[in-house]
Amino acid sequence: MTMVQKTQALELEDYLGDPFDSRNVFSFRTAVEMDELEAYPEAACNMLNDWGLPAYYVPAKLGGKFTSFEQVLNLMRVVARRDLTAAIAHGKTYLGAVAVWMAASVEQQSKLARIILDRGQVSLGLTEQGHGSDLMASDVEVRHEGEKYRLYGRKWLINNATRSRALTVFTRTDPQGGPRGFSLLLVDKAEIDRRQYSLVPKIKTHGIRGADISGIQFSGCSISPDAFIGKIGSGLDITLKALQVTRTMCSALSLGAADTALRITLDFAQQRRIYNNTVVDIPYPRQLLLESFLDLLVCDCTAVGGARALHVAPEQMSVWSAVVKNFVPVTVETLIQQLSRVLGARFYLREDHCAGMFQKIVRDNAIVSLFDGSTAVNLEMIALQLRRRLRENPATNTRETPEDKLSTIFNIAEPLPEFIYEAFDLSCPGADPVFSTLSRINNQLEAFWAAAPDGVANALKSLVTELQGAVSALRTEVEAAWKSNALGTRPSARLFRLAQRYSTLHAAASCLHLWTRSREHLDPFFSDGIWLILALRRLLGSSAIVTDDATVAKWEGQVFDELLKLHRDNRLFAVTTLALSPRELVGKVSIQQ
Amino acid sequence: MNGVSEVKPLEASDVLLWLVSRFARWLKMKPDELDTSQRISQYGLDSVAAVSLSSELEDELGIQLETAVIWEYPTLESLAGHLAGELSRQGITTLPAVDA
Repeated sequence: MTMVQKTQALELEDYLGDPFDSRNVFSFRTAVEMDELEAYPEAACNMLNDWGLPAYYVPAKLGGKFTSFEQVLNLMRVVARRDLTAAIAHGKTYLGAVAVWMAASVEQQSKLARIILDRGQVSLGLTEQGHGSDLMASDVEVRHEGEKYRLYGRKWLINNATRSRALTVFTRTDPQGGPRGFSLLLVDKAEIDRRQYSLVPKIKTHGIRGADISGIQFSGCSISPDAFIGKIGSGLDITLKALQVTRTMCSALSLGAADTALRITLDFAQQRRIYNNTVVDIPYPRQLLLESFLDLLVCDCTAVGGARALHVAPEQMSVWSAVVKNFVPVTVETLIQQLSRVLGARFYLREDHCAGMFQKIVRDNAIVSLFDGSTAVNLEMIALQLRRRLRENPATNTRETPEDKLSTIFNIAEPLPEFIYEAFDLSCPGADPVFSTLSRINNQLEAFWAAAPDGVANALKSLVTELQGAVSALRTEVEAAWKSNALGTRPSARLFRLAQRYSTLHAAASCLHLWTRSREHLDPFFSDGIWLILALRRLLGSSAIVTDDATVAKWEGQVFDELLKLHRDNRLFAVTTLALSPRELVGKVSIQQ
Repeated sequence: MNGVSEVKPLEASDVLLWLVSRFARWLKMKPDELDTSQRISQYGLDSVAAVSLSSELEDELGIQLETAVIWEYPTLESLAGHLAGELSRQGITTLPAVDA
């Protein structure tokens, strides 16, 4: 990440203070207490407003401070590591606004920018009680009655439906439906008749219990003809494109949650003595902690690659965003489960260790894989394009992402081009560039191979070959599965499974590319590549034997030491690590009842 | 591929014939079961899944298409008309063999 982005994330981190200190608004104790009360994190959101976070949701040309999604990823991660409820409650304004930035008129954009900069919240009215992810079955509709447009129907499970000042609403505009039968509306509650809509009360949820997840019922609500976002009938296209942005950005929430889950588990594992040993010194929990750290680093690379790709390769995002949205939240769910085994009984407590924060994270993080398109929806989006994404020869397609685009995506020191909302597409133009460029990695690393210890160089070389082989094997499987699947219909269960494998390999390639191109800008531990060997080995499966057991054990020891060091030094568990707000008692359990 | 090589531009009717055979294969139906004036979605073609069809058409025909082409031209007849225009504009005068 560039210095400017790092500075902003550091500023916000510093402003929000030590979450282990119960006196802070953004403390773990407060987060748990508010969750117990199922109370909206009002004070926390006000703090974010006071800092000026809403300006980062608004494009600069409209008076905001947005410069890049990498920047927003880092800002949201800093909030999410403290409290997912507050991060989601606040960040959902971006979800509500993105379609407007993408396709609305200049007047609508200026109006919404003013609302957000004035701290107004915006929500996306997409889902309905009877239809879930099936957007084309949506019943909420606009009827053209005489001179007026009137809105009917109920949107349900909408983040901030009650509290928001404005909503973008996905509505049916052709009774027959179909891909041109839906439109998006920008509805400003201040401009509609209060008697023509009612709010559906907040529903009780498993996690983020304080969030305003409610609904809105429109009862012939009179809508201005200016309320349509883009052309009438373009609602499905715009929504599918807007979700490509938010799906990518959801990863910030999981990254923040994973960081805290790992940090507070390490707090425990370093203090707790059992069977005459400290937990960190017992092989099994030590291994679980190490694996969690590696998985978090993989998620970090995958998310950073995705956020940067939004700028550099928007045409790739229909699949790329689905990979990030599928891989990161689900991997973090598994990571948290692993950590719960280290914590033992304490993972289940709603008080005591770290004020009961861990169980809140378990529940809160579970929603990330659900919203903005569930894991199934994302796997389907990947499955539909699997064959083309795995094509061997990308050169035949003139719209192929060139090598220099990939360089910009994965070289974190390189400034990102301005983000272009109009450049998104519903499908990708060709093969996935993270795979089609793998064959060039060896050449790009010539200087590294010459300088690296033999063991490291050989291991990495064999993993690059292994990854290429895995992509090739997947291609063969997809070809076979493709033939037995009727095209234009829902993909088979087999294609879903292959889409999952594709996501894992895309994550592996993301790590490799990011490391290859950013290595010189990383801290020594991250640039030496040992973590990458262990991470790739894990992603590719245990069959990837790269060296002897003793060497692997030595490397694992080195990576584990780095984990402990980052924890002790109070730094973010990330490839582009960050200094966190000082903890008074680092490594100690500073919050206890 | 056994292209039908002719120098004159493709007619919409040629493209329609080809499309019927392709869609019959993709949708696992018989060609005579497809009514070319009906919306393709009538035959179980899922609107979102249709996104993948534009890629297949691009690959088979060697042209570039808008992803939402099947949303814009929802019947085989209208799609054939559009594709004939695109093929001509992009300088393509042959179609892949029907049985390819």
